[in-house]
Amino acid sequence: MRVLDLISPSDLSRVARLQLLARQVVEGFCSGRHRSPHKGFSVEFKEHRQYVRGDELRNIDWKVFGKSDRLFIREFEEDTNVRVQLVVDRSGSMAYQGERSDVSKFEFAQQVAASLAYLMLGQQDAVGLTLFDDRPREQLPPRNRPSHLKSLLSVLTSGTPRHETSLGQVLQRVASKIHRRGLVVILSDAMDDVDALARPLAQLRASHHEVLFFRVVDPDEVDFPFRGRIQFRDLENAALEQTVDSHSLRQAYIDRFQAHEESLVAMCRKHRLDMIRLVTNQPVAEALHHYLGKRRRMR
Amino acid sequence: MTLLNGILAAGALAFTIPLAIHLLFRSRFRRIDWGAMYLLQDIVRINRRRMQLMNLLLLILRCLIPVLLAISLARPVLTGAKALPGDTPQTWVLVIDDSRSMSTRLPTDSSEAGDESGVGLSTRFDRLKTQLRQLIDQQSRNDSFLLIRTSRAGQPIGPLGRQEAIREIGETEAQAASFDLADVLESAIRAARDATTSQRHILVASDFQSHLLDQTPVEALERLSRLVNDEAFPPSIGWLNLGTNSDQLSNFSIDEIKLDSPAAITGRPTQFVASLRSASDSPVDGLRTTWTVDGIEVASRAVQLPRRSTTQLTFDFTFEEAGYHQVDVRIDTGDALLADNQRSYAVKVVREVDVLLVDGDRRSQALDGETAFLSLALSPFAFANSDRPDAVATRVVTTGQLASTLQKSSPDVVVLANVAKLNSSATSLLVDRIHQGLALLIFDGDRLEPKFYNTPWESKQRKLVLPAALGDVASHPKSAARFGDVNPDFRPWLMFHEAGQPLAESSVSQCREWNLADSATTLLELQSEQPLAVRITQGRGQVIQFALPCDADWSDWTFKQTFVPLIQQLVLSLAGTDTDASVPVGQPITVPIEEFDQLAESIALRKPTPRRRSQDSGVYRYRLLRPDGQESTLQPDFLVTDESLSESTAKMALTIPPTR
Repeated sequence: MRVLDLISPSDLSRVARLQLLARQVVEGFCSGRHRSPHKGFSVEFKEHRQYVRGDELRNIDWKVFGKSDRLFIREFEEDTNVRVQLVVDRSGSMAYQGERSDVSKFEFAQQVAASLAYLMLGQQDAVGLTLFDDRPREQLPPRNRPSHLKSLLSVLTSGTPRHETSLGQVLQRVASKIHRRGLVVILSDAMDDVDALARPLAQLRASHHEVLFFRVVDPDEVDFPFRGRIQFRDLENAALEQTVDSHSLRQAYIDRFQAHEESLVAMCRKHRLDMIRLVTNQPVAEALHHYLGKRRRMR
Repeated sequence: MTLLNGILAAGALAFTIPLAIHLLFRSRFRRIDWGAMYLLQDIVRINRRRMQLMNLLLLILRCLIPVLLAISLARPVLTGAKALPGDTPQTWVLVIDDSRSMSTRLPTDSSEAGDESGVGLSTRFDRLKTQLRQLIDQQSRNDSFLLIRTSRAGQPIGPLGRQEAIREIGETEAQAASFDLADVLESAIRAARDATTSQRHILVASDFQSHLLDQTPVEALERLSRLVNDEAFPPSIGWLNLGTNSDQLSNFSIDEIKLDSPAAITGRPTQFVASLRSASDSPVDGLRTTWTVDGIEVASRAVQLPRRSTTQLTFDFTFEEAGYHQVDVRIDTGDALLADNQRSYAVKVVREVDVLLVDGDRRSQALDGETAFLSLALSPFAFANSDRPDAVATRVVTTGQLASTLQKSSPDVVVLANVAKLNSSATSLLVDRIHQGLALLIFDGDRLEPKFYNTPWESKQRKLVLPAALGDVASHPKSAARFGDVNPDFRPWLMFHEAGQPLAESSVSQCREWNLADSATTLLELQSEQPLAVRITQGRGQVIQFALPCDADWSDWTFKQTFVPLIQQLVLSLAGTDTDASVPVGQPITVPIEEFDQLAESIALRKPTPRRRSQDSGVYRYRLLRPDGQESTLQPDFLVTDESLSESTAKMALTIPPTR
């Protein structure tokens, strides 16, 4: 079965574009274009063990043999594979794109997820995917085959953002389905009740999962730059609209946004997980730095 | 409360502009599909009421701004007991009595109210200036002042600031005639009406001579009271009485000087009479008076005057030369008011008026001819063999002698009395002489030939159409046709109009019916309005035509008392001897353009200086100059409002009031 049997040429082009972009991000990152406080990323030496029959000869540490006249095998990080579950928000609110951004929040999340998947599969980590809005919509189990990338990208590019957000319920269901310890990467704008996250996050942490929460926001959602009389229509519920004098609300909105984020941060800190704000007019590679830092701590 | 500029309050309707903008933009908004409604919804829910209240307050404020602006521009003021105190601007209308009585010198012991310095002032007008200056200095700089001089009540000056008002008052002199108090007050009230402040005051500063109130009818004061009460902002009226202690002033005055002789004839004694009045409580003995003719003292005598009395001074003088002469009488004693111690009289001295009577039916018997009554009326003293001079010398000729007489002499007046017709040479001479200034009187009669009078009279160069074409002679029943009124515009006969129709005693039994020329002016008519005497002017002369003879044939007017003065006044006016050379103080003299050049003083006019121009607020005053270049004491009292007016044009508009 060929890929074209599963996805249409237009979808394939989207997939191809996303793959290309992900490759560019990662390669650019690797070549040093994106400087990072984290030193290198390649497979790192972990420890020596006695050679036993059947081990690959290429892993024999000949320097140690030269010194000790004994055969030892070098063990590397890559041997410690991680199961990563990408949980990407595809609710209606993710469709927002401000004038200062080239992409919508969902498109940005797609690029981040694709880049992470590319990187992870390159490291032979198993990557799974869950797309959700008010419930999980698309799910792919973690696989570490390089060909799994196309499947991931194909799912990522399918559908459009719609429906309301129900992050807490979705995480609850994701948590119940992930049995093996791994890394859960959440890509969402978290425009939902913070308190509803408490239980699923606790459940994930109780299962010894590591959680990396990327909160994707548009610059407009951060500083509310609007002026004049504006009718705001909810992307998740077209019937909901508010006509306001935006300038008079600006400060109150900013205060509300910061309070919401602070509560999110507090919630995440409470459950010992990292929350990183990604703004859609920033480079996608920024997300990779945070991922790698997290990945290193998981050794 | 009321509004000074109420019409501007309509600008309050501009509140609809922000309201319309609010409603317009309320329906205009931008749509944004928003991804953070979860956060926005809470804010809107929490702040909705606050935002609505703020928007409402903003809208109210925006609507209030034009309303408040309109009200402030409309200048609301609190009236009556609710008037605001403090520095509220006021308008003062200062009525200044600049009549001559204000030049009265005050006693040196100035214990009168208002003289805080204790130093005696020279005249009442000086005291007026001082007190007004003190009043003005006490007002705030926001106050404005209007000045009304009683001599020019209809020309208020202002509004002026404090310094301007003080300067203008300082330049005023008290030399004018008396005034009508009611008229002046009405002018002040109307001037106050135009003030831009709500607080208005009128202050009348005068010596309030007793005749001012005596001559002001009660009805006038009642009318003024109603006028004040009808004002939106009734002004307060105050009185500054500078006429205190008038009874303590010893004043003598020459009240009048007049010509007692019927005419001033050269070579014959002319009598003048002056009225001398004492306002002193003490009798006076040896009050010296002096008569002056043309500046030369002629006679001087001492006079006795009882306390508060009037006496007549007579003066006889024989003029040798014809023309205008000035006769003055003065009191040589100083008193409180020097200005009225002297009076002048201008008299026109003439030689005898030469009247040529053409008798169309000359008789040898006395009083039988057509001109007998006329001769008697014109030269009564001659008939009475009196030494008194007649102003008129009459000569009687026949119709045939007219032409030759005219060729030899130049009479002032020619009278045709019942003349049938004239020959062409006489007619031609008459036409030319009338154009040169001759006056022609035509009296009707049974001998007149209508064809001659209804045809234009001609000379070589001119043509004369008489004022009335002759018609039939109409009969009137006895006592049916009586003399009516004279034309009040005809000055020689003005006395008959004012006296209440004394001519009505004369009746007419027959009278010529006329067809009047368009240019004819009726001088006298019957009570039935049928004209009796008409006039036209031709060149410098004139023709007066009567529908009656000048004898007793058709009417009894020659037997009435009014006949003599009627004829005398008419003839003297035709000869130009009734010109009033003396004009009462304060009355203007209108100088005809033709005679302006004959004035003794220069006709040069000097344009006003910029300072004077600014004082008059764009109105210019010309000044007369003497031949030596100095300003004449006789200055014009007119205002030229067009700077582009040339001097010649300004001259034509000149009227000169006497100032002494």
